Amino acid sequence: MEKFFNPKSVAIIGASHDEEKVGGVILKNIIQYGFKGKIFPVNPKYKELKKYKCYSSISDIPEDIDLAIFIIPAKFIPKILEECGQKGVQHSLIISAGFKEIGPEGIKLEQEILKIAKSFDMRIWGPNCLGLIDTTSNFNASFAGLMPIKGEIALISQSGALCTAILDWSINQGIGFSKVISMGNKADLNESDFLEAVAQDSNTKVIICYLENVVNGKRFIEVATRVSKFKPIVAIKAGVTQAGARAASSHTGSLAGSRIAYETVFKKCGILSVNSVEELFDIASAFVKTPIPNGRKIAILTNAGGVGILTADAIEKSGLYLAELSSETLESLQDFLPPASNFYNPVDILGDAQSDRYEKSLDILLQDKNVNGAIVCFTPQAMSDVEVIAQKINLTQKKYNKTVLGCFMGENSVSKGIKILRDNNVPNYSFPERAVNTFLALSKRFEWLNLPEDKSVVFSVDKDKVEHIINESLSSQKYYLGGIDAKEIMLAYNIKMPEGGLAKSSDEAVLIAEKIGYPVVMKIVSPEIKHKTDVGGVKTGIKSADEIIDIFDLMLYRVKKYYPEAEITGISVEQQIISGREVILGMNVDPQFGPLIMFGLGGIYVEVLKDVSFRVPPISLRDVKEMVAEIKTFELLLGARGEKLSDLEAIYENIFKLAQLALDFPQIIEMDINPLKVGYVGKGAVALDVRLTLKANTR
Amino acid sequence: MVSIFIASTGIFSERLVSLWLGLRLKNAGYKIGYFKPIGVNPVSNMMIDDDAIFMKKSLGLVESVETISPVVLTDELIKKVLQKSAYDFESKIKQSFSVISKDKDVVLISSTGTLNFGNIIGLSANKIAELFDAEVLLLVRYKTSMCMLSMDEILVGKDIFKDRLKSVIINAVPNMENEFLSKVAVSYFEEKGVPICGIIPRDKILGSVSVAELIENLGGTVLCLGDKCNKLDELLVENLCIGAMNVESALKYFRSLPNKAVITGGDRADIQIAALETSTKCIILTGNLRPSAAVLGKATEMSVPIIMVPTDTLTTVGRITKMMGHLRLREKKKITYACELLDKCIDYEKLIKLFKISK
Repeated sequence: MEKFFNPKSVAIIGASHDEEKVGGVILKNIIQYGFKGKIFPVNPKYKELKKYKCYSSISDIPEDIDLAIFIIPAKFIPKILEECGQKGVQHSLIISAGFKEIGPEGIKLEQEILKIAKSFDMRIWGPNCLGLIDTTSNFNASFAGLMPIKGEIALISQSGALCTAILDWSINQGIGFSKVISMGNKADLNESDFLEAVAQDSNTKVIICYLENVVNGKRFIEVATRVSKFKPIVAIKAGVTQAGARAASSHTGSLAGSRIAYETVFKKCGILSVNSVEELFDIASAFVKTPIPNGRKIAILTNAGGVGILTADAIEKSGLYLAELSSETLESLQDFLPPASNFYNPVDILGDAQSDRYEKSLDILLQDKNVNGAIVCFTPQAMSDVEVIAQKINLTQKKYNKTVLGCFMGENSVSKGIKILRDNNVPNYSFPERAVNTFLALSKRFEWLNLPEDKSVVFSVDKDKVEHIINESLSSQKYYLGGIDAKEIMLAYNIKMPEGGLAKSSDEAVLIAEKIGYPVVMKIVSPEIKHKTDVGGVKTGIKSADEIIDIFDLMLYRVKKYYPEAEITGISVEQQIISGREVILGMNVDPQFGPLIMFGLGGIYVEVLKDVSFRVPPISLRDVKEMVAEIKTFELLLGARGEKLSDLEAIYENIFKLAQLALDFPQIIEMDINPLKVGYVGKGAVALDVRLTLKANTR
Repeated sequence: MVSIFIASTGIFSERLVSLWLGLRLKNAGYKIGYFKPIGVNPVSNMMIDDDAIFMKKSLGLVESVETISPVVLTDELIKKVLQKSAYDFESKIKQSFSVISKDKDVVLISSTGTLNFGNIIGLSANKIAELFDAEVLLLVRYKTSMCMLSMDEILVGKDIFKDRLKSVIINAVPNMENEFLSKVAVSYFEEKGVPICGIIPRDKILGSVSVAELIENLGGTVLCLGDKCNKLDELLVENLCIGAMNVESALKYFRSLPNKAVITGGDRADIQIAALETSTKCIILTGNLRPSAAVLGKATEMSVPIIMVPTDTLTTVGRITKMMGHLRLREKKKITYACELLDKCIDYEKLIKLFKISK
């Protein structure tokens, strides 16, 4: 990738003298911002462009070319790309539009260029992108109207237009970039490649991403997890609402992917997920300037009581904590602050506070071992020496190297102070909530980096049996498995199910019940009936043969009435499991990231309250414990109001087995164990109802 | 010469069984004739029943389609009959039959509709059987919600055709009932003098409709086909889904239904892409709303046709539902599949014996 960002020689195919054209802007940008490599404009219309000899074709260039940039109409690209390949060019940046985004014809063209590139072992960036900017090599191969400030943020964006807007905005904000990457259609190089590239860049301290979709979810998880171990990644995923997802699909021709899937994946990879572009830069700027806190305990220093309260509220709401100040800290503060001050956190040093009061208070607070970092709030008062205050805050931060975030509120009278903070190591936020949100992100980063070693558990299972059932089902075009097939699969993975069997007549049903003993449960088994209860397809507490005979008849009658076309496999007769709490385990294959494992409390908790948690397998013991504890109703499993504790170990075990099954068999695209009846501690858990969906051939 | 009257208790599978039996007999070296005395489905350009044209082509018959389908009963014709216009349908069909039956080992006579059909012109099913001294093979469709009705129909057939009824085939039998019918019902009817020689299971593919037919019947504009869509009559739609929900629910729903047509609006790019992620034979966009270029591109890549129709969703669904579920035998792929299925489910040797077919 180095040859994209810092080529020794670059051919600009479609370069123009007209600076109102993309070919003219790119040539100008490459020359104007101090690129040190050799420049070869290619355009048969010109002999010379901006004092550079202009070549009529790539093959006429007498030297080797590291990077070819295409700014010509899409239909001419395949031919010239081929010439580039023959010349030995290994890297092509295709700015031109007119590919996948325009429909079927464009797709053909995109596939054609990919084929050509592959035959020459060439990598393609784009097409349909703004281009790239590297502020270290001073290489601006984009049609952006400016060069960003040099900085340590690498921006990877799926929207070129968003890049130009961000660059324009960043200048006044004093935000600098190491690299700006507009990915375009991601025909070849995609977010995973760019993440790898910027991870290796010593000038990049933090990576920010704007994503609409991810090309290869599994690789993305692998790469992002590796990269975020040594560089923070902050990402915004567009298209998370219904309206947004629709717009993203319309734009990219792929599924936007569910919000849950992205959140789960981002969490697994250590990516900090944000909801707005503002938040993206709030957090990125903090990573560039300040160290990360080694805990969630914050001290607030303020010259305004109201602001202190607002900040305290925001801290508690976000899951951070107000640091409990040590007695030494309190004593030191009391020693020099006016009596009207508030010595406890939030520390209010009053409206008349000058720089010395700020400096000394912050010094004392940062010395306190209970304080992981501070938010320093300032509201302008007539007598405030804002610039000196900012300088002192900077100096004190440097002395202790702890996280300090500024919250200088106002505009006119605080702007000089803000600039001083910003030019040093203290990012400033105009309101407390933004500062708190940033602190939270920094804390999460610390926690992720310091996660203890974890273990996964693998169970001994009968994979061959499952393989056989799945193959048989697929060959008979049976994609929805319930009843006996689903039960066999569960048993092969040692997931307990009630004893019982499938009856095709009431006589058979009685025989099964007599064998397993009463009471029994009867359930309709049909691949087409997913909500059995709604059509009278479940009956519990059956205690005699006479009851079975009547219920068998009535159940079939009712189900046939509601679903006359449904294929009914039979009626299952199973042992009734009476005691325990109902939970739900599920698996759903996300089109981009693969399987997602779900856990929740059964019944209304999952259906109405959507109280569920998700993880991407492979999952660890910590993942499993966290996902169970994460649901809002976890306390019910712990035994609320004198009830006994549920068998959590049995839940963990079943989640592991389900995840193992999902990873072993990618043909399964959905699974539900609903409910899993969990007994009290030591009593285990039994899957009462299971259904699976297999992937049908999409052709 | 043996005449077999293939009667049915509804318009179900006469065409399929006639075709299958015709092909089996033909392959076994018998000289075969096919006759559809009264038709009801005229083709677009002439008053000839659709079955006649199909069977002439499929069985390679030499007789003219006018001979194979001498009478097509339309509403206008019935009105004229009621106005006492003089028609001699009986002579007409007798004349055709004499042409068709000449030098044949077996003539398959196909009924139309129910057993009562044709009474108005004095040519009920029984009358036709008598007229050509044909023995009857009765097709009965299994009724899911009240299976006793199907059983009744077998006995009603026996009452009507008496000893001419030689055998019965039960169609569209749910898997769960197959075993019971084979073991218990067969011997029950056998004792009543009605041998059952075949139980055809309910089958999604038999009830499917091809994308080619959908395009033809919906009057839509085909927006993209993709490279692999030159065989639209081989793309069989077995399920129909309406995409009006959120994309996550849609994906769940779409995954559970293979080989489907998805009906949605042109503005629902998310639903269209979800459909393309799952087993989908075509996407139908209602209300003449075009999809985005990116969706068209993806559909082309996946070779899934997108059809834009002017009608609203309700009307479109109504039209397709009417087409689906009825056995429409036209596409080669479906014919091959259907014949293979019937080979497995019908006891051909038993049929030969019951109808005393010989060269």
